[in-house]
Amino acid sequence: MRFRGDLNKLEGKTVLMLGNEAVAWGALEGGIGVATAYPGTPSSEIVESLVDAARELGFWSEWAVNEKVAFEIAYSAAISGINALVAMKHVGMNVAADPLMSSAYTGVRGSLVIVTADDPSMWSSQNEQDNRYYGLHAYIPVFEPHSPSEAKELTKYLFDLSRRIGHPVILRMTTRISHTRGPVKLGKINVMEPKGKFIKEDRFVLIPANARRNRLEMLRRWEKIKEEIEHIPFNKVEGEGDALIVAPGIAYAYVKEVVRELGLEGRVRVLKLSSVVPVPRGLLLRALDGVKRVLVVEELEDIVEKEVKAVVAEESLGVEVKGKEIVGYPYELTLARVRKSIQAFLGHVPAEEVSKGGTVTGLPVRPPVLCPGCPYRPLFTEVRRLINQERLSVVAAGDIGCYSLGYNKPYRLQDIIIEMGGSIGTGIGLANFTDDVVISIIGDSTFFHAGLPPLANAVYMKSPLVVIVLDNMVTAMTGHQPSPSTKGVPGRRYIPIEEAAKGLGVRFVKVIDPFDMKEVRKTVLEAIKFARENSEPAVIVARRRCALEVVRDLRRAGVKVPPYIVLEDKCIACRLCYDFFACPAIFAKDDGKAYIDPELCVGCGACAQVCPTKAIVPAEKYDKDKVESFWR
Amino acid sequence: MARDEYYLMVAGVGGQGTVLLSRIIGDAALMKGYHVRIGETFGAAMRGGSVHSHIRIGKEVLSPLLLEDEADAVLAIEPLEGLRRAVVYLKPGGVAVINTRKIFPIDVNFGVARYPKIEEIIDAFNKLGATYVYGDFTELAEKAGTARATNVAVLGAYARLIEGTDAPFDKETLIEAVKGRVPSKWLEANLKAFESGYKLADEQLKK
Repeated sequence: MRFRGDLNKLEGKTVLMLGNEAVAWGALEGGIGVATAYPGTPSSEIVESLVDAARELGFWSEWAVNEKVAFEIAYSAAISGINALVAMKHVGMNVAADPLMSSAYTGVRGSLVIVTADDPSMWSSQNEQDNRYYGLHAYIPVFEPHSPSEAKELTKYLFDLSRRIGHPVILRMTTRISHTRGPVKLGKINVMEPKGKFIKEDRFVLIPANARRNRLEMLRRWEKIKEEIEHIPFNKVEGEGDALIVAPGIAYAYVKEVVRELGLEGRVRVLKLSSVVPVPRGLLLRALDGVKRVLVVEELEDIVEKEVKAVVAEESLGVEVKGKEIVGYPYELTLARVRKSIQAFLGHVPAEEVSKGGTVTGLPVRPPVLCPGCPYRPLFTEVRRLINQERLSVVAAGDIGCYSLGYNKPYRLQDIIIEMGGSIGTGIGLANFTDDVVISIIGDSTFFHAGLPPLANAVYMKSPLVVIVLDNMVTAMTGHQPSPSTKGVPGRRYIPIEEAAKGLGVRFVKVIDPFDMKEVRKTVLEAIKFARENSEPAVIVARRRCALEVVRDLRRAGVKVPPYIVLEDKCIACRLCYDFFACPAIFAKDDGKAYIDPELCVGCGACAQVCPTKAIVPAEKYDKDKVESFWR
Repeated sequence: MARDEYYLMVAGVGGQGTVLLSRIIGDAALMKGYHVRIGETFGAAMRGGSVHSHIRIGKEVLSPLLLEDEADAVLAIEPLEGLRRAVVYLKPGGVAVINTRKIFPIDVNFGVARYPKIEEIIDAFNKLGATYVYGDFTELAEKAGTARATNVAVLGAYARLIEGTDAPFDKETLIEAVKGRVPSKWLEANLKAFESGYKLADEQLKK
């Protein structure tokens, strides 16, 4: 749902909500004053919703350039007495880890709710790190819901807990909760004005003498947290039996269904846990009372399992504890996996799997592709062509964004993708320690996220590196959130990337249109020459707006753009447009000639340049200048 | 609903309104007083990839994902995607609506992969033991005013397909749910698309 219109009117209603939206609503009920984030799947909808709500309700919510800055903004609000939320995807917490660790030392005065959206199975991420470890590492308690509805209740509660104990808290979501819809009953909105007062205290100055004192204070708060979680309604013991299944977070949803399905109610005990770091020891001991065997069903790492084993050993309970040896570590849990695990634990023989008729194999896969009209496509096509034609040995250091798709055929222009901003940092090493021509390819939002420090380093080190900033002027992949590279955000200042690069001392800075393939070729060759001859970095800013936004704006403005067509008699079936340019709107017909699907074509016209016989033309005449103005 | 739980799978390609259709169905289930969970898989949030939604309806459903062979119905907004999910999730004897308008994956454009013929796809649904209706729902939606109503045209056919079964919906509830989700500007076209889908299914089932 969109958080627009009179939100107060929704009180008391039950609506279908995404887990992330439920967190946002929980923040509204919990008294939010400041909310910020850097977008990243599967976390983006949380602050997306709060940005909308803030406009309606008068608190503050905005995107920050990266997770570290977002964290610092939320933290500073929280130590000024404001209730704050900061959200990030799991790997974003690595970026924010520095202030995260310190925040537990200083504590907070308002609330600081840190939301991490983990991505088991890596649906849209480079790893499946389990951020519950950050809680253990930083002395910050971690809470995990099993449903959208619980996500809302938990968020609201965490605002209260954080403020009462004066300590940051982590709400851990996962893709399967973030992107699940379920009914949520909406409660009363209770937001606060983003106005705080910073009271000077030694604890906020982490020089060693203060940090040492803070360390003791932090441990005292940790004891309070341990007490608190013994009595919260989000943890509970259900059922009776001499076998116990411990089910933290989403695992509870699966365990409960399997217990019901297999008719185990009343035969096994289930410990539902929503506070996973620390594990409530007293409750665990009560759950273990009279139990002979335990199965811990948890997603990813064995954090709760280790805790249960430790408690069983410390108390000499002699209870057998199973977990990962049955459930396994990698990838997200599924109902089928949990059922199999519970059956194995109980020694049940699973029903033989019946294979059904009509099983089909060999269906073509459908990976995501650059959209029709994507400004990156002509640039990728031309850079690949010049590399091939000039027989250059190039390493393309890649980055995180839509352009990660440049890894795929036919472009193959992302040889390394490890993390946000990694293209420039790894580019420095490659340019200095190998003989290859190194081209770093990074997006505009990613450039501001983590590209500035490595670019300064490249200038300082005089690295012979070519940096291409693909500037579509928005954070496109996660749903078009604004960034400093976005023009026309009300009340916010646009920062041209070329100015930032020049300011850092880059002496070769050129702004080009990625749709102009001749210019792309000329500029990239110049940049390679400059970088090698002068042993210093060259920056190319390839600027053109995201096609999805352009198409949307054209439609809103009522401007009709005709699709392009292939002139049958001129097409020589050379395959360049579909094999080499690879726009999803262009197909090979049976005779090898090209065909453009008018439904998919957005009329960008970029493919016309690729055609050696000028067989690709607009279906009808149109006002090119007017349409072009939307792309800039 | 005669049974305690009912499961659907909605499959399509990014940008086709798969998520919206699953929300409409979820709303309809809530209107009927059921509990519902929709598990969405849209990966890297980009267009053009395969998207499918798991919908579980019942008294109290917790897991967001379907088991294999569990879906009572598969709604295919795109034929290949519908088949891909039906092979895994459609239960024997389940129902399906298949939009025959193809969207080629990029490997098909290159000519390195072959898109199955519609007859092959239909045949595979036969082998799965499905009761189904099929047709060019995109064309119906275009005629109704916008190709973007393809998802709702598919829903219209589904409304006809489940008449007289133990599915937890009826035509009126589904229409109400469409009204609640579709922007007013596009509502007329969507309702028209719904009726066209319904009619197409009606004609096919009478044969």
